[in-house]
Amino acid sequence: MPKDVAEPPLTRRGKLARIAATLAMVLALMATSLWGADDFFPFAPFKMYSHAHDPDGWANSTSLILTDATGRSFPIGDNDTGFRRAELEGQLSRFREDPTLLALVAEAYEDAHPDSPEIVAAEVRIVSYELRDGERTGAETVEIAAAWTEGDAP
Amino acid sequence: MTGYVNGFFFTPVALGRVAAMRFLAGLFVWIEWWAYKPFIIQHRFLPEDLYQPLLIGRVLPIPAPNYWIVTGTLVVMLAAALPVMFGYRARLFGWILFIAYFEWMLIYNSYGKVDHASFGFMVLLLVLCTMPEARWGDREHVSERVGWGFNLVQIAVVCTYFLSTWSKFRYGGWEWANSGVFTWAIIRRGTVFSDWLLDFPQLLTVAQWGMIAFELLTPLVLFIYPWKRLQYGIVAFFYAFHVAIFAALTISFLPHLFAMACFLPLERVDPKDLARRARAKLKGRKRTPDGRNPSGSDPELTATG
Repeated sequence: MPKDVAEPPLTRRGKLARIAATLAMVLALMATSLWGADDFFPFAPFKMYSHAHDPDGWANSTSLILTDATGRSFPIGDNDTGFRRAELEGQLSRFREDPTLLALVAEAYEDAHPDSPEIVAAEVRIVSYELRDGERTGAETVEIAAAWTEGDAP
Repeated sequence: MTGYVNGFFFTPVALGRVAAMRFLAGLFVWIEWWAYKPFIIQHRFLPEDLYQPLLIGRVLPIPAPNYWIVTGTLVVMLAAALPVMFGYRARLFGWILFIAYFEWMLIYNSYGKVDHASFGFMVLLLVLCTMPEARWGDREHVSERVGWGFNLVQIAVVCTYFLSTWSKFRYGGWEWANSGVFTWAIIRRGTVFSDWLLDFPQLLTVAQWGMIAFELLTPLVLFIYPWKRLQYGIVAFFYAFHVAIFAALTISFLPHLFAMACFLPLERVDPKDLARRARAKLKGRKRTPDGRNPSGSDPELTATG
């Protein structure tokens, strides 16, 4: 038969305090969902895939492309520098304003890959695919949102 | 009604579940940093200029991450997770683990993108710190306090679904469900299991409506708590939903899945007993030694409550 643990049973006050704590968490989550921003982490808004995308608009895909001293250009993944695509998109306005910030990403890549050739250029490339009724029409555009070459002052 | 409310918050839970959840929590911490979110440790290479502190990072005197802060946080976190997993001074090390993990999450989320899949897991780490010492398979000792703690985690898990619908309406508008959001997601992260769906946009729209309905209905899993079998069935459906999402987009919300395990009667799992029974069976029957025990291999799924 189940036995209670050797602990005093919850008093009425103990129960009310716990219910209040639960409600406080729920209310904080609800309030930050309605009026909050990501800044309130660890609270909400829980906005995974919450943005609507027009089925007759454009869907885009951002990538960060580095060029090393041997002339090789390659897109980098989330684990290469730790600076993820989503983080790049989150800070995109900063990069548009000041493309020399890309030097910092290049520097992080070099630190993470000490045996690879030096990075001499970087660019943020946004490919947009046209959608019609949610289907790709095949039309696409490429935008270089920010570009940096070694020598640009950081 | 009072009985229902009391049961909602304080149905006693067996301590065996505490031991199991501590093990799972520590296990996840050990898996996450190298297999699930390997970019977090890579943040150690990022210059301070790319750090965008969150509100809590600006209010509290938390320094900008650098190589040694990131590495040190990881070491403390992994070291604290081990005693928690095996129930050695689980409260003390639980607090260290909670604090280190929270800092790890700040390192994760302070570079321009915030992910929200870990809320339930952080609540789990917090409530585990308040729970008593426990051993696997203990179904004898039950506690209302433990029941309340796991209920809090369950509510956090459900809020993650339910409130994400609010965000969809807030950011995506009422048109979210008719928009091309799944097409967009598959273009970005599609797999062999989902790429073909791009040719069937109407199907994707139906799936979007299904998603809204599913998320709005998730609180039911809390309210039907007196019917355990039904509850376990619903939780199994949640897990299946995540398997499908993973197949389609390789997004898995893994910490959320670990936190959600506290819905299940894990106190029925007793590894020592399973090993004993498996050994006895091997001796008794001399069958192929695959070590499986059909009646005990997945007790949480055959549970009746």
